[in-house]
Amino acid sequence: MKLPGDLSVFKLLDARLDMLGTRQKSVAQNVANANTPGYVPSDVDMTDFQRKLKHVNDSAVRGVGLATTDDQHIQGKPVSDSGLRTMKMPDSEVTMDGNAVVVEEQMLRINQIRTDFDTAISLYQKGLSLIRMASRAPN
Amino acid sequence: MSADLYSALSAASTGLRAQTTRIRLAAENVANANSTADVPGGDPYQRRMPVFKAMVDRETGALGVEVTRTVDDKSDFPIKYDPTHPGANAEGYVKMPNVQTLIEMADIREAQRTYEANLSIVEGSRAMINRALDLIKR
Repeated sequence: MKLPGDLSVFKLLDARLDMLGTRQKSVAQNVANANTPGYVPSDVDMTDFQRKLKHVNDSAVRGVGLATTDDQHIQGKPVSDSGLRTMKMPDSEVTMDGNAVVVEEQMLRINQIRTDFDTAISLYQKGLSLIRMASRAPN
Repeated sequence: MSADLYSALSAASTGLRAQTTRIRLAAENVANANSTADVPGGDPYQRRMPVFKAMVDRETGALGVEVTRTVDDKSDFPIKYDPTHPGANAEGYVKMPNVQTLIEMADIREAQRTYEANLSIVEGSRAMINRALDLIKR
């Protein structure tokens, strides 16, 4: 049987929610350091995310683990490269102390993240309700 | 996802704390804008400033901010002629604190703005966590 987490729609949404969480974290870090001299803001590397998204359905890429050729072999936890890469992304202005955070631009970014997050969660809910509808006994 | 949102919360909270320290220091400066020495020729109150530094929270891995220390403003003290003042030197001049209220006010306003930005990060992250939790409610 396929669990919701194995269906590709949910896997994709999972990846997207993950990315949005990481993005929110980097915006929070940028805003916290809005007055730190020399701080350059960071954001999620979108090309890295898109590359991961392409491979979201092939389990081979998901993790590197120990090969088990016998039942008694240690399984071990597969080491997966799940963390998204972030990169330095300076905003439009750099102050004299070398700080490149513009709070307004970061605020714009959290609104964007918020909308994207709400969309993804709504789609997830929709998917769950479809499964629920399919599993209801006909009457 | 939720681990990242929680570390967003912790980064924002360090920002709130740092800006509070900054406002406190500015308030101290304004309060002491007229604190002169009470011995002849002595130094008055010296303006203090916070030093911000990016700091990794070991528990969550979030890159927050911290006020590592406060430094004194080394600029010259303005001099006022007031021979009757207890802090006046032999020529009758008193050293006044190097605090400029206008600069402190601008600083407080900037700190307030950044504080509010951090607060909206907290609100946003919390709303996202709650939204995700709603998935198991129904």
